[in-house]
Amino acid sequence: MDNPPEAEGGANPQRRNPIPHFLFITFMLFLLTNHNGDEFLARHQYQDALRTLTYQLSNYTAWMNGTQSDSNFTVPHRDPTVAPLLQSFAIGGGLLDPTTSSYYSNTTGTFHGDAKFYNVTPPFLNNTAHEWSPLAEKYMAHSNMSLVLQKTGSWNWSASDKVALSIVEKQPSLTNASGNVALIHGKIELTDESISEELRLEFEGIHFISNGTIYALAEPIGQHVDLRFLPSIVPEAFRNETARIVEPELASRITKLRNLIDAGVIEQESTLDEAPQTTCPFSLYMVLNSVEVPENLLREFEDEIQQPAGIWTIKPPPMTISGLLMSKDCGILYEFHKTEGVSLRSLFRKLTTYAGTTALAYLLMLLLLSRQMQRSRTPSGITRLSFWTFLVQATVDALSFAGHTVFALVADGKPSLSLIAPAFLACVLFANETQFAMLIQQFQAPEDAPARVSPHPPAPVAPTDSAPDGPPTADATPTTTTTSAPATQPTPGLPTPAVQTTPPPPQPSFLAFFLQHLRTDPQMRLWLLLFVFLTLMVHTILSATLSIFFVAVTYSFFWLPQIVRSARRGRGSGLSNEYLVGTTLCRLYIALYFLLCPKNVLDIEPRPWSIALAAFVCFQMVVVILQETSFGPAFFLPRRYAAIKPYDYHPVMPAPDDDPESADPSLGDCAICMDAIHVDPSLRRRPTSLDDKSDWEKTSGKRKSRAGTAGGILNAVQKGVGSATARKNYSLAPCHHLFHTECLEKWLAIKNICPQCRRPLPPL
Amino acid sequence: MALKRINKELIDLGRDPPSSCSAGPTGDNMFQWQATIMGPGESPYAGGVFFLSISFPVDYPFKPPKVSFTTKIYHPNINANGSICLDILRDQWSPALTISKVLLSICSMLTDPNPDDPLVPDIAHLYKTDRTRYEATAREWTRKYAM
Repeated sequence: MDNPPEAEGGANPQRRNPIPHFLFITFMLFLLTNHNGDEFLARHQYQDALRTLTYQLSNYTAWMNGTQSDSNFTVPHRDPTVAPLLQSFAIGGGLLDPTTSSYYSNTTGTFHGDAKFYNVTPPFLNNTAHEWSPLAEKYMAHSNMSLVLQKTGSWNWSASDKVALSIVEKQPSLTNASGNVALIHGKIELTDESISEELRLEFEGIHFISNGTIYALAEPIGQHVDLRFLPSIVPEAFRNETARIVEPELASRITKLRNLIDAGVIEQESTLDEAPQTTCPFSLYMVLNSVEVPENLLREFEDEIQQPAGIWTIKPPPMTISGLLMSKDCGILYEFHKTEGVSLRSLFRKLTTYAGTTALAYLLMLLLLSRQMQRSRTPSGITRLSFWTFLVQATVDALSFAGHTVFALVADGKPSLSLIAPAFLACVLFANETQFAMLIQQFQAPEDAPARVSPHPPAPVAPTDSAPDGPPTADATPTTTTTSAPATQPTPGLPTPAVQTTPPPPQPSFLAFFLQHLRTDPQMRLWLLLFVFLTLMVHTILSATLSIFFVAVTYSFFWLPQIVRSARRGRGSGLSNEYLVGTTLCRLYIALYFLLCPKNVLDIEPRPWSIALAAFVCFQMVVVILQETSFGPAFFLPRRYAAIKPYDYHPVMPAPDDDPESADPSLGDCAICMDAIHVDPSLRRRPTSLDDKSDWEKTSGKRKSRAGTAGGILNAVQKGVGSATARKNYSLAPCHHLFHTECLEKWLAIKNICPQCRRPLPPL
Repeated sequence: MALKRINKELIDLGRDPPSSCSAGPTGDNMFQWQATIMGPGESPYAGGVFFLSISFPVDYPFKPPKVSFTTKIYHPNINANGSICLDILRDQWSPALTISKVLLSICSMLTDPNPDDPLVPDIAHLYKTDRTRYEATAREWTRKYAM
């Protein structure tokens, strides 16, 4: 109660109206959930799709049965120019000897590789001299060139040199007698690395398991593939088989859609906001590369991966695929050769392993953190720690939590749920770290309180009731000290007039009201911060570049604030080595897995700079550890840059008694344990020489200040090993009361006053 | 640490015993002591010998000892159970305090009760309004229980 502004601050919150909070939270929730209420539209879309499908099925059936319907629909025959073109690219496929080699039967998985772009429009073909050029010319002979430009759109086709396919294979349907054909669907991503953008195509096709060929139709996302035309791209021999499998598929889709509409499960389709980058229709011809494994062994392996029974199988041979992605309408031809794929099942297995190890890493970090929190739970321990170090870690964990959760939700399939484990642990770690950071903040708030309050005295002069809010809120919200100080500085110009001119009708504009609230209400600020933080997180997760940037920035700042704080305050961090090393390694493990491992679960390209980042983090860790040792917290700084000396509990004491007969040389009794405070004999022998040396340092230090860090380290070594550690045995309070350091530390954990005279003590 | 310090205090008490007080362990358990206080001459408790029980916590110099009267005493800051309302035995404890200092504080409390922070409000009220009646009762109790 000795501080009047605080007393007012205590009374203030009761005057605040809770309604704006409520409104604000509702507003934020509204923004976050973002319901635009066009479920009706979505339902309409569904019904449209159903109608189209029914129509397609009816005339398809008519075509199959040979009865002509009114639409006159026929599936065209295969373009005869395709086959030779495929042949020249070695996309043929063929039957194999099952005793020596085989094809994978299930292609479900993801494939990544390089793609080669060829422009096959006639003007370009004339300039090139590929051996297949004449074949392509024939292929393009009847295309309508006038539409090419319009259809190719804005996408930079020639710059796209990475292709990624994700294929989902349906189990060969039971109605299909041969069991040899499977319908597939999936997505193709063409990546333009220069702008790191992707063009996504959707495809639907058919996989002939016996000879490893795949034929598919692809369209840019948003334009639905017309399954009816599938028979037109397969070789003549497979045409009837394909046609037969398409019909039940269409029918089953109709029933599915109808059930969805009946059940009222309407998912809004993600409508593309921007105009589609292209409208080119593609056909996709692919062939699996055979593996040198007898068929029965490969089938065994695939069965095992599908339904694990624990049997010993062969080491999985690589699954590779080659293919052509062609668009006759646009004159585009992509070739990809031996693109390596990861079967979805193996990916899941990898994912589970990743989730397991990451969860372990998080568990370890959690354990280390709790041990560290136990270690530095005393006020003096907490004042040594850096708030920012823990806040940065908490931010990283928050992102990791969000990222893992999103990953787990986005990746379909049960195994991806194992990612919830690291996500949960990251969340727990985040909560702990935030809490600890807040605790640190609260303890350290008084440190800069005088500096912050001093510029404020004029504030209470203002007569309005809003004015006294200024200083107390600055004190009450330690979380936002950095923002509050500058925020309150320019305010006299802005909100005070608003308050002074309109006291009778309290009707300020919403913005003014908002600003005023923001300025005076710590809770409001917290909400806003949270909102900004969440938005930032979401954006960070969704963009790969941002995530990597985020990781690089946060990782570089792990221990840096701690180093700065220790150096400025002249005290070690109090972080245990096990915590430092363990946390650094665990965090680096998680980050480097994505940044260095070439086949990580997210398919992030290895970044060589991450080694430098890791080295930097390790370097920081070593510095923090060294600060704790006898080198001293500011060993890397030249003497003259060392900040104002904090109170030194361990000054050089005059020798207790120069009586050589005294067997028990002590500086007196410690008032806490009532034991004598012994002095290290080495210190007793050379108190004068030590003083001499420090004098020598003072003079020569100025002369040789350029010696810099090396000098600092040397001094630390000379001074530290002999005497500083010995002096750490006792602590002299500013009130000249002497205690054992150990005893005083224990007492300061309970109360921050001198046991003898009850004066407040600086942090030990 | 606690045991060491308790032993030291015991040695100090023997070497330099405070006037009008004494203290020592009751049995083998060094954490359980008994103390006596002679009623101060200028107080209504004069002539009485008051027994107290002291029990040390395991983290002793950092936590205050539990001290209570076992002899009945009529005092505004001491209740019927013998509990003592004294700030240095609660939140104002400091590890630099010793049992002998605590006993001396209790002695001075007997001379000068603190009626503004009473444990027994009735006695405090009487002490403030009718000092002679308070002194008479205190003297009577002392004769009855502490002599």
